[in-house]
Amino acid sequence: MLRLLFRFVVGLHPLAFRRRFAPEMLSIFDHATGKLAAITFVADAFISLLRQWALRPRFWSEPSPAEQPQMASAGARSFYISENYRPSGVALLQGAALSLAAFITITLAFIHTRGSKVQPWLPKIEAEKSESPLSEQKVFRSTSPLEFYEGKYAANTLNPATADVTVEKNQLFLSYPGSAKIALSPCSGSTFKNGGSSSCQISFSKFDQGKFQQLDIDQGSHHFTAFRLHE
Amino acid sequence: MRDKQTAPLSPALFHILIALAGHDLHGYAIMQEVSRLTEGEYTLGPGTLYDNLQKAIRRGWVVDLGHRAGDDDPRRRYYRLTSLGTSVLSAEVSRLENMVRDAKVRLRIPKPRRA
Repeated sequence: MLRLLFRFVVGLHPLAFRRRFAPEMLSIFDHATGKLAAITFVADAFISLLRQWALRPRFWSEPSPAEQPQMASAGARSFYISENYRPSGVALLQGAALSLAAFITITLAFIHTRGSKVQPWLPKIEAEKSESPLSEQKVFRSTSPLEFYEGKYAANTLNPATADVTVEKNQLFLSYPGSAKIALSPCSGSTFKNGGSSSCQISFSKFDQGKFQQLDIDQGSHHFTAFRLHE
Repeated sequence: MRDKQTAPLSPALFHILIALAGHDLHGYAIMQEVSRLTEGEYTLGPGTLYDNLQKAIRRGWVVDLGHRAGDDDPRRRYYRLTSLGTSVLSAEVSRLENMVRDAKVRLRIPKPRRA
């Protein structure tokens, strides 16, 4: 009975201590003669148990490798034996029960959420109200009266190429000799575009005497500059 | 040689180091040797013994020699005092000697002066 109690108390010691000294402690207990000696040993083991857990936290683990050379340098041992640690049966049983519980929990969670869609939370972004939706092209208005653009423009005195800018029903038109009239849509300021085109390639500049004096037509690689003809 | 952690030694550790100063011993033999040296006035239990042995081993004062072939009990492991342990023990003995000397001086009864 006392041996069982002694063994139990020794078994409660920190692992490192138990692995190293438990067999020897039991060996010494087996040498105890008389009940009084056995009781003293049990009491001593109990005090040692308290001391180990309360005062020796640094000794709970095995000696670090840094401590080994010091031990080896004493001349008695040049290597350190590390026995393979095997968990106790109770620890294995507890581990198995815990693993099973975790497995069941995860399985149930999967089954429970199988039919439902996972909807990740996304921040709600409210688009700013567009002033000009794509369906509604913004209508640019020319800042100058259309009469300011009206007139005949020629490249120069030597170049006979001319361009006529006319206003009909509050709409600006550009025409070349021998070509159809092109309706001009205002882009911004004094810049216009061909009615079917998306780029603003026609611009008027050099405002003087109540009229624009210069016309620039940019068609990719071709650039045409003309100046107002004064009649 | 000795730091703040080692001085002074506890009675148990001091007696264990003294027991190991002569021979390599196993745990039970250390207990018997301590009991013999103190004429039975100081006895170590296995818990106290191995608690202090663990401390001594960690500090490099004692080494574990392991099992010895042909021993009566295969569970027994033998322990040896290292040179560091010997130095620590020597320092402790010197400290105690100084204390004893000082104590003797203080306890000396002054001789009465002749009139």
